[in-house]
Amino acid sequence: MIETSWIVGLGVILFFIGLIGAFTRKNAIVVLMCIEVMLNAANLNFVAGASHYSDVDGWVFTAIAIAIAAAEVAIGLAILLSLYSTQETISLDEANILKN
Amino acid sequence: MGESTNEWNLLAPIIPFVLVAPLLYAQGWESVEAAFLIVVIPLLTFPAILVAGQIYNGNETWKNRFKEGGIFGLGALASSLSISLWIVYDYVAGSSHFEMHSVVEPFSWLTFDVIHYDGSQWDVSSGFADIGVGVWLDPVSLMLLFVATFLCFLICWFSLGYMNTDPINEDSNHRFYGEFVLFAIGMFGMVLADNFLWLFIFWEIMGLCSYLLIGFYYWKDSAAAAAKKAFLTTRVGDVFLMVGLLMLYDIYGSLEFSIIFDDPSTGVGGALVNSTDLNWALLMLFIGAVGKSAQFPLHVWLPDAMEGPTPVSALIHAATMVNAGLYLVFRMVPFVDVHVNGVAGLEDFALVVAWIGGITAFMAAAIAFVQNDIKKVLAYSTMSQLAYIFTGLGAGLLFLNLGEYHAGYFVIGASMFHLFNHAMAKGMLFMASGSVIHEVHHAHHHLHHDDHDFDPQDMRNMGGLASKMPITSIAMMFGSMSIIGIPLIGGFWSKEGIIAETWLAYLHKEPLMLGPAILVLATAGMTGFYMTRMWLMTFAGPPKSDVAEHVHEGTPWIKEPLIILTVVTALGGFLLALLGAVDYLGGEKDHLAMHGVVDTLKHAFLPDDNELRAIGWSTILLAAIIGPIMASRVHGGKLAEGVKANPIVGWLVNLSSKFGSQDVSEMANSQLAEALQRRLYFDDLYEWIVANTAIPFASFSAWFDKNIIDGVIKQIESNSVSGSVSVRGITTGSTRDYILMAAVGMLSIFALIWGVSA
Amino acid sequence: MGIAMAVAVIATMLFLGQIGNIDWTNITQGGYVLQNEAVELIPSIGVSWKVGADALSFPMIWLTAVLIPISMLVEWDAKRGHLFHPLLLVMEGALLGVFVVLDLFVFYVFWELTLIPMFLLILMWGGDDRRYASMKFFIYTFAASVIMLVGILVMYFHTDPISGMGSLTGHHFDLVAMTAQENLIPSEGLRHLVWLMLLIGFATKMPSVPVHTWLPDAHVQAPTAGSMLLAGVMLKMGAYGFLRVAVTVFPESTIEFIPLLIVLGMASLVYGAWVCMGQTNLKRMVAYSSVSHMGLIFLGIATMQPLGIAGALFMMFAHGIISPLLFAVAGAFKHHYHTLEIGSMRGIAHHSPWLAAHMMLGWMASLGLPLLAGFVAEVAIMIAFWMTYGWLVLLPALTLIITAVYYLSSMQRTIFESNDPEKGILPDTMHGEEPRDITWHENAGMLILGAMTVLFGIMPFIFWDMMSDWSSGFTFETLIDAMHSQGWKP
Repeated sequence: MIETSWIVGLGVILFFIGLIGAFTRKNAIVVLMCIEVMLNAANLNFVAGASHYSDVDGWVFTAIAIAIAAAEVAIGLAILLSLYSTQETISLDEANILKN
Repeated sequence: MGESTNEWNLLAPIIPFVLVAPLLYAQGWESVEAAFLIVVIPLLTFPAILVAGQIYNGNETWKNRFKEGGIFGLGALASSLSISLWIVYDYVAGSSHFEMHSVVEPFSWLTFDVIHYDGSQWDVSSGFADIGVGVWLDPVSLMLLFVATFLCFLICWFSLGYMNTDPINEDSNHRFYGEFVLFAIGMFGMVLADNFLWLFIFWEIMGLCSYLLIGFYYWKDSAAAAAKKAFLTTRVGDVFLMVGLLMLYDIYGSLEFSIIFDDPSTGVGGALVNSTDLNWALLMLFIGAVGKSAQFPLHVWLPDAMEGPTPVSALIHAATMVNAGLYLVFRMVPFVDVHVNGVAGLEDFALVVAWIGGITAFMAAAIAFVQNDIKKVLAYSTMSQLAYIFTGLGAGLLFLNLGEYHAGYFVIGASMFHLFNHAMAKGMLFMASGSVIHEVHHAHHHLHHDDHDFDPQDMRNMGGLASKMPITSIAMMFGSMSIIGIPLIGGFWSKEGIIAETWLAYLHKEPLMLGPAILVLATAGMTGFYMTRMWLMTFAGPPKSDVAEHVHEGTPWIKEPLIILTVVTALGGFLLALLGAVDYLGGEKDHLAMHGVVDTLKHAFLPDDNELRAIGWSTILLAAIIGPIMASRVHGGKLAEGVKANPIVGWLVNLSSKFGSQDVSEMANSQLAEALQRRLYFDDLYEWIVANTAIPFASFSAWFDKNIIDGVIKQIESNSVSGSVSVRGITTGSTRDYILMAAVGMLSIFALIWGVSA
Repeated sequence: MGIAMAVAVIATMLFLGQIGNIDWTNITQGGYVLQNEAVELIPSIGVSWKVGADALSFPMIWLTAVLIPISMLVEWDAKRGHLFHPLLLVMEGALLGVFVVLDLFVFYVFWELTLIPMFLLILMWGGDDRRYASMKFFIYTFAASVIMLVGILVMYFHTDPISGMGSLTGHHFDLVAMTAQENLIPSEGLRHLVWLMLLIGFATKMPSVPVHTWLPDAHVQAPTAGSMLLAGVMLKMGAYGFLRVAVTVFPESTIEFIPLLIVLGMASLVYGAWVCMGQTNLKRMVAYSSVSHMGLIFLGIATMQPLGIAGALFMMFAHGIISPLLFAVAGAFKHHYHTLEIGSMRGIAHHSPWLAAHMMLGWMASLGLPLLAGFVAEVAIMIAFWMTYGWLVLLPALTLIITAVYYLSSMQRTIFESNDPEKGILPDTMHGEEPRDITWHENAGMLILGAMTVLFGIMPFIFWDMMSDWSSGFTFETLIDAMHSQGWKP
């Protein structure tokens, strides 16, 4: 049995990898992947908590989060596609139509 | 149009109206119980005339058979007249007597509670109050009721001829008759009201009708402006009158005559009435009276009010409405009458009344000297005569407040008697002037169709009409004589009393009465001048324009009222004087009784008091001899060659040419004449004040509201808009910044929660 | 359209039919009639459906029920009538709600609900500047009522628990219970603060100077029916709420702030009249005259005499009949002459005699002519004002002259003075169009309003008696104690 704290620590590491990636990368698809990583880090924490407290709530939350993440990715990719078709780029440095 | 006679069959619809009074009598009603119908019948008639007129406008039957509503108006007024005659008969000759007054039990109109502070705490126990409406009759209101109903009826009759034959009024006469009847409601109601609030209510109704009828020719600039001026000037007075009512209410806890007059020296809850408080209250009421009766300094509206049709001038601005102020002052008698429960210490108030009267009488008579418009002369004459009555009332109040109640009652009675004489004479004079104007206008219309500059009211276009308009000239002669105070005729019987008693007040009581005394005496002579001048300019001498040569008396419905009123004016004063009207109206006697011809004459011409005798004779000298002779020297003259006037007036025309002639063109160009022409600059002054204070201040207020008060709100609005624009700057559009912000935000929330939970 | 009218008329008839069933002895003695058993709406925070009417609200309910069909009649030919008339019905529901509920939460809900139909009326049927006016109207009054809401919440948190109400918070919104609870807010400072918050909400609605500027803008842009309801009933919500909540629950604070009431009332009355005189737009002038007349209500309440309070109540009612007539007339000018500029036309009475007649009647009623509805209220307030404050009454009294000046001038410069008996001078906006008189439905609406003005002028006791009883009861039971405890004297 692995210590819960190890799993939580892994979650923290994964979260910061995702966060730093989201800050630093230009490619929108990579940023999207980084966001997924962060979500999964959160899921990992839920799971860890669930097994630690032997409570089913964590599992439920994880399942919902995965479902939402799937929907979110679909929307995200759709946005990226339309961004590409209108701006001919998916570089985040060049996309600033939300300004002001 | 033209030579037609009265179509008497048109009067058929009036019959049921006249039958109201006999029917009620047959039903066993008391006359006083029917008094409310005097107001109610016109009240039901006037909307009917207005609405029917609006619907049937232009309809032939409506126009010819019903005279555009005039017949219905006449009917309503006839029923009011018949009921009021019934009441007058009951009280003067019949079974009913005033104990002091007669009241129909008031109907409670508004009820409410009042709480009083008794110095230490609030008292809630005795606060129930109500304002009712009932009928009040005493000799003076009886007299006024008769004057009002009688003149309303006659002048409505006159209007059938005057208004309906003038094409300019076509299709709008229903408006005239509707408003005329509404006015009658106001006047009858005011006379019958049994408390000050209802007096005020009807008073205002009359003000409204005055406004509407002066502005009858609403499309005329001058008429619209005059109507507004009349309403606003009287409104100034009315507001003070209302304040006076509030003060009276506070003092007495009621506005009903029966409660107040029962004991004017004790106020609400048995408290003794303070003369200072009462003085202020009466003064406020008096300002209202000054406005309504066109006295200095609120006199400016009356001359302009002549813009209205002549019947309106006759009825409202000479015979009835303007008397409302006098009636109100008469109602103050119980307050000052120390002989019965009055409050001492109100001499100052009485002096104010007398002075205002004296000043106005003199001023108006002076302005009347230079007027060329026949109606304006009469308007100023009205002001002047009303001022006489105010002076008399002032003297009467003074006497009563000092305890001289015989003299007081006498002069109060004389004043009210003068009101009667003046109303009859002036109503007739205005109708006669209307007859002149109508015929001159008609003749002018006949001769020149397109000359619009001709003024049919200008006496410089008349002259020599004595031969062409016999009835009118006779009527006007007797009217003028009554106003001047020619011995034995109409106004003489009352004017003498006023002047004599005013002097008496100066001689025996109050040195400050000297001013009014001198002014009214001088005015008596001036009245002689300007009334004679008016008559001579109109009727004597050769015709002054080709129009005047073609005038002839021919309009139907006009003659009858003139004839009736001529008789009343010529004989009424003397007959009533024989019956002791002065004592009756003054309240000294409670019934009319024959005095005997010799007694009455002796009392008038040879009073026991030497001073009175001197004053009386100098008045007669000034008014009946010096004034008219001066006027004859300026304006008198024979008629044109080969024309003869009716002997009743012919002697006067011939007499007027006997005094030589005097050229006054130099005087007419002097500065004084100019000032009189400009009405002593009062109108200019008021206009200047309004134009330089009220109007700029109103514009400033509008600007202030738009730019400062609303500006602050707009500033808040625009500041918040610009604030949100600057906040918008932090959205850079870069995804990375959004993520960073989300992360930072998240972390701060965590930190917050941590901090709170720890 | 027809359906909406039918519904409104049926509602009015039902209401008028109910009058016969009312136990009048109860309504005139300060009690509520038609009061139901409270039905709990949100038990956890103590919100219940509790309605009732007394002599304070009854005339207002009557007014609402009568004015809605009349305003529909006047704008019978409104564009998009299938939307317009139902919106008026929504308005009726909301207004009636305000006047009948006795639960402050529901009161607030209805209070804000009235904004929505009026907002839409101005936005969709308004004049050229309707966007600005509707937004200003909405945000201005909404902001003020949010402040009022804060006050209401403070009151809420001071209520004692009633069993079964407010299971979660232990408090309730029941106005009757709040009134009955002695010393609702013990701290004097907080009580005054709450009173002021309430005043801001109510005074803005009335509206009183200096928070009145939304009114002229809203009126000028609003359609005729909107203006009629706005002036006729919505403004009365402010005065009604002030009496119902602020004065009834906190009589001590009211007495403490009487000088403020007098200042506000005088400012509205006198300053409003002067601003009226400086206006060139007919509707704007009439709107300011509403401000001016509403000032008298504060003055009437400030007299602390039963007579003055009854006068204020009657003023609310009388102004509720007269001002719709004024706005119907102004609307007819806009409708038939396409302009509201005073002085752009002359002698209109020749072309539109009915319009001129209605204008005359309405204008005269509003300037306080006796035997028309406004007079009784003015006189009652003035008598009471003199009893309490003496010579200060000259200020409102002299304002009556100003009122007469601006009304008469505006009449003179629109319907009179063309200097030609055959025709008037038409405004440029007519573009050669033939001038007409008002249509039959406008005329019918104005005739009803005019008839009511005369009826209640000659027979004010129809409503006066109950108002007078109410204010006597209110003074004796509530105000007297507060006056003694505050040591207030004239």
